[in-house]
Amino acid sequence: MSVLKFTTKTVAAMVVLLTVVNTACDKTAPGFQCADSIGCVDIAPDEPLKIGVLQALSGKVASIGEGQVRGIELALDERQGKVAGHSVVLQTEDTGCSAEGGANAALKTLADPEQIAILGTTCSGAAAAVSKAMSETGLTMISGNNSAPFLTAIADERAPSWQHGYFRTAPNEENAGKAAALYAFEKLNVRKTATINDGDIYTRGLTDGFIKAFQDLGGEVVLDTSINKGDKQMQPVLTAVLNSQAEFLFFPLFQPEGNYILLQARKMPGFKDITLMSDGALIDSSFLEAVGDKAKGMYFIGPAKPAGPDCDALAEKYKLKYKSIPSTSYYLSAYDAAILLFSALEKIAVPGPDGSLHIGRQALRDVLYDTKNFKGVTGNLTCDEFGDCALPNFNVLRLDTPSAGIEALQSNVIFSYSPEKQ
Amino acid sequence: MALWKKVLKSWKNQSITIKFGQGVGLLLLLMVLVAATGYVSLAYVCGADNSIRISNEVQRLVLEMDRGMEKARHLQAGFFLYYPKIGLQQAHEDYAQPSVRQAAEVVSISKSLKNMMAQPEVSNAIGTSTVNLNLYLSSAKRFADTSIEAFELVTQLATPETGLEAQLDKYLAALNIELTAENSALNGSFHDLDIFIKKYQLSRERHLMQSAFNVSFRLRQTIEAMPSLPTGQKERVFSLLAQSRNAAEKILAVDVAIKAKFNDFILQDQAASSVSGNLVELARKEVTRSQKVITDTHKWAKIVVFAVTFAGLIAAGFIFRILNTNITRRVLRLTSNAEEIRKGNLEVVADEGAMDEVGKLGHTFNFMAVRIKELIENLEDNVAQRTAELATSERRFRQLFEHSRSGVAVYEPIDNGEDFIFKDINQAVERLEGVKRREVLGRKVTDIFPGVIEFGLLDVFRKVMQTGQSASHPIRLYDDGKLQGWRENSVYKLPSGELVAVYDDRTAEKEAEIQKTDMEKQLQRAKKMEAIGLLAGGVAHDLNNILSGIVGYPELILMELPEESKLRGPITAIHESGKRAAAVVADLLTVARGVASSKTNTNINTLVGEYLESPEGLKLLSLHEHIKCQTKLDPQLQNIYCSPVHIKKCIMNLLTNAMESIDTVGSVIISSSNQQVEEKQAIEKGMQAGEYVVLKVTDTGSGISPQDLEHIFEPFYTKKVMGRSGTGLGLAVVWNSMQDHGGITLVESSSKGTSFHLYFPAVTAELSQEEGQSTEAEAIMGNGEKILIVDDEPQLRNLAKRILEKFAYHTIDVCSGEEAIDYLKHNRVDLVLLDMLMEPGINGRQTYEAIIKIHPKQKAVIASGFSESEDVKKAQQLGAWGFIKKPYSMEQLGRVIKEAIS
Repeated sequence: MSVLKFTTKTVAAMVVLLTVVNTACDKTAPGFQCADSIGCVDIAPDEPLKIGVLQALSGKVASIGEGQVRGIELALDERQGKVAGHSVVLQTEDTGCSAEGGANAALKTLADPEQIAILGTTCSGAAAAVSKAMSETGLTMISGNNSAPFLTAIADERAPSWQHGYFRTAPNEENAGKAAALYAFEKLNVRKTATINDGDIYTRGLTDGFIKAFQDLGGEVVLDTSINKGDKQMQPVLTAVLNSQAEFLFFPLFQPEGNYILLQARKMPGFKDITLMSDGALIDSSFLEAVGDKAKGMYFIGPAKPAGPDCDALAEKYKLKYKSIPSTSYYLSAYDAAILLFSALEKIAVPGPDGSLHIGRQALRDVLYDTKNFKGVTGNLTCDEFGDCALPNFNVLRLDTPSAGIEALQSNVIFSYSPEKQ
Repeated sequence: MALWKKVLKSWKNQSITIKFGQGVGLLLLLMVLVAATGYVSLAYVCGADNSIRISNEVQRLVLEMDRGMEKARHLQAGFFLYYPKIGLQQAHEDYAQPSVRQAAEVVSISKSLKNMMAQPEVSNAIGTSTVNLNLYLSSAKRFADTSIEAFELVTQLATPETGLEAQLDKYLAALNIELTAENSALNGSFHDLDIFIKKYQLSRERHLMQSAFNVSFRLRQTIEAMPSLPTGQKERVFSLLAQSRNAAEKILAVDVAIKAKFNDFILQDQAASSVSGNLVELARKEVTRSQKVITDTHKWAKIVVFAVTFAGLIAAGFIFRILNTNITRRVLRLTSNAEEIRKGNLEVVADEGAMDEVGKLGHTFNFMAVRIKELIENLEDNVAQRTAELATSERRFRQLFEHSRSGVAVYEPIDNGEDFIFKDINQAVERLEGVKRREVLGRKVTDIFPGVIEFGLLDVFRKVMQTGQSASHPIRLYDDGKLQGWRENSVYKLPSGELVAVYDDRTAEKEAEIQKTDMEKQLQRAKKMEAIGLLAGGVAHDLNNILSGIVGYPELILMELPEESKLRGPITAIHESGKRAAAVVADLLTVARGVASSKTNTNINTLVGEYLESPEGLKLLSLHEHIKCQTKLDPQLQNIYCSPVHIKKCIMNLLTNAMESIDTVGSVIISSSNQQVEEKQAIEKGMQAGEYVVLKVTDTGSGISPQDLEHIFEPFYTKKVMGRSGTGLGLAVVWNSMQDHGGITLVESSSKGTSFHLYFPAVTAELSQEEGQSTEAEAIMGNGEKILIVDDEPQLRNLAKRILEKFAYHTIDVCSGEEAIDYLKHNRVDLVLLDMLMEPGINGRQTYEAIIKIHPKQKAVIASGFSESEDVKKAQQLGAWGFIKKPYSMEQLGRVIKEAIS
């Protein structure tokens, strides 16, 4: 009888022990109640923050996309790879600098519900597709390179491709075309001009801005045509330019189409007296290396290069990290985009008692829209309601000495235009 | 080692319950471990099996999706490939729509797959591929959307008649008509234009279209420079050129868009194929991993089960060894020690070992062994002592049993308790019932004592047998015709089921009780008679004093009267009447038994004869001539010491009653006999054992009723008419006379008659010679002796004085005892005639006591009409010589005085 009692007690004790252990194992931390209107991202204690990096990493614009990635990496390095106490995983996807590439890259990024934000894209054409999907999914996107007015605002109105949650630290190039038209009409006395775009909203936006401003100035746009991305035979379109008797050709194209235009134009005698002007997409050392002296005398309209100790320090870090010189200065704005995002995340992230992190998606957007005088390497950033955070400040550059490299080009500012100063 | 020793010590000191508990607990733990291993293995196998199943399903769905997407792409490609041939409409139906539906199915499958991957059984690797699946799902959707957009673009481009290409063809055809008729130069330009457009349509190279635009530009410049061409035609050509350029621009835009869609398809294909490939690979890996899990689980389960089983066997062996060492072996040793002790070896010592229950048992065992040894050492003495005590006890109880005055019988019930047989009886039973033990043992009680049922004891036996409660059977008379006696039983039941009857013979007590009752009755009767006697005595004393004058003086007168005197007759009548009255008073005194009568040795036959021959007897017989009176007198009859006067009275009364009890014809028998009364018979009859003379008077009368029989000896109790035939004193005289003579009177009466038995103590002495006594006056004459007469009655004092003086005595009379004493203090007399009852003052006895103190040998005669017998007897013991009853005759007084003085 006593043995039976003992056995019963033993079994009972084991059952109680198992129950206690099971109960202990079942314990969960008090749940975080998300009050965000479009939801939250809950980061487990040891889980990283996931941020999509959608850049043009293939083709001739890969150098710009790569600069963007490096700018982001440098920003992350500043924080020892952690944001709000959590490591950061950058899911980098190639957009191919095309809308469809952006769209598919966006699909890859947005497929993960734990994605918080997107840093990118390189090309505005890709950004239009990405920002739409991004905005619908509740993410936030900050680009350090998009400058197409279509993405934010045109004439202080929402642009056709504006999406809520889209921000950029690159300036709206609505005024880049205007700056180019002013310089061509007023400084070069050009009255007939031709424009070539590649159908991309970026190039289209620039040529549209240029055409409007040039026409407003009283000039005549004798040719407004397009090429396709991937076109190599530019003689026909250049012939059309010649046929139009234009004095000035504005072709804000990416590589390699821009390269082809330039090189083939240089081969055509009719272009001897025609002034060529491209945009910031070609303000890249790779372009200079590709076309060499053929680009001499060519004008570029692009955002003013940031300068200052911070930029220099970051450039030093760039060189130190990547053992190379930045091909463009656009990594700076990518850096600013990254620190702006990281800072905003740290502001709104709600840490859990167990080390988890809760990020409200709308809160992130809101804090970004409230950004005022955020100190970036490209200057103080203040985001407007359309998502533009950088001050538009454009320079017209002229390539006098191709061999001097990109630094020389960026330093050779022929004309500056800033809407704030107007 | 120290720890191990501590553990070992602690284990040893544990109780057996704890040891068993720990052993069983360990085995239970091992069983639980085996069960847990089985459970965990099963869980693992089930989980892996589920994982395989789900992974296979995932793989199947992914492959199905892949096939679906591949099919959709093929259909899409077919559309773009064949729509120029089969027409747009047909291509839509055959390729475009199936492609979109296929994509929709893929979307549906991917949703199912997504739901499946949300299940908990899905492995983490596949579960985390939800992102990829999302991408696949999005890609599939996007494929469908992009396809539709692409189809729309193609439709926009290639719709017959209204499509952009159709429009361009139409404009070019019109332009061809306008220009072909003019000149070869224009015709050549148009041909170039058409060639570029055709090339574009084949290669979709934009620069070709741009070249076409350039040709168009030159053609326009050429036509503008041709004055011969009519203005209207020019305007038509220019319009057609503008329209064709516009259409071409749109075609370029659509082509760019279509190209973008194709690029999109390529990217989607890359994304989806990588995703599906990844998923399929994951699923395959999961299947492989799960199969490996199952294999590993089987392997490890076998190892664990084998290990646990092996450990269980070792543990069981260990537990068995521990239990065997700590419990079983020790218990066996204890058992062996106990066996040794049982065989008589008290020197064994049990191993106490640890202080658990077995250790305590061993300790107790040793203690008990020592105690047993001590006890056994004293056991023989104790046994011998106890045996002797037991034997003594048994003897004692046997003796108690055998020598018990009470009868003790042990019975065994038979016939279901209906009857009982004797198992044992003690000597008292043998003695009381006159049976022998060997004769009754084994025999039924109803056989030995047939009256036991009527006696009521058998019912008591049965009741005790049934209830087990002891019971008493009160004193009852057992009478079976052979054996008779009063018995009182107590019956109880032994634990063996036998009955024991303990009984006492109460016959003696019962008879004594009866006798006591009789004695009490007799005593009551005696007291009654004594009370009546006192009454009668008192009356008789006074009467005797009165009658003394009536009897005495006529006698003196007759002595003086001449024979011829006329007074002699009346005085004689007075004298006779006085004598009859005296006789009645004498009866009264007899009843009172206060008269000390003189007794002599007499033969009762003589008295019977004297009565029958006396005038009274003859008169009686003559009055009852029809009654035959017989005598059966024993000639060898012994004498009795009696008062003949009283005995004759008795005979007279009995004979008179017998005669009177017979109404008509009958007989009366007077018989006498000697009878030896034994002790028992004497007790029954309330008399002393010895030889008796029995006088029996038997009549054949109507008998005496039992009610009357109780009272017949009471004075004045009579059934006769008072005053006619009796005074009611007859039988009272008989009873009291028998009392005075130490005998008894027995009566037997029935309807056939009555017998009176008078038992007189027999004497061996010869008859008294009184018959020879002279009654002559001379013989009683005095010689001048001096006699002191003491009587309180002056008349009697005077009568006595005159009679004694007649007989020549010298008399001095005093009226009280005190005066007599005073007189005698100073004088001496020869005799004192002393009345017993005197009032006031002292009585005769007291007077005599005082007299003998003065004159110790003073002679005296006590005279009394009635006196308490005790006083008379005591006076006689003191020395008073004689007694004379009042009223006395001259002769009687003279004779007593003479005899006393002589």
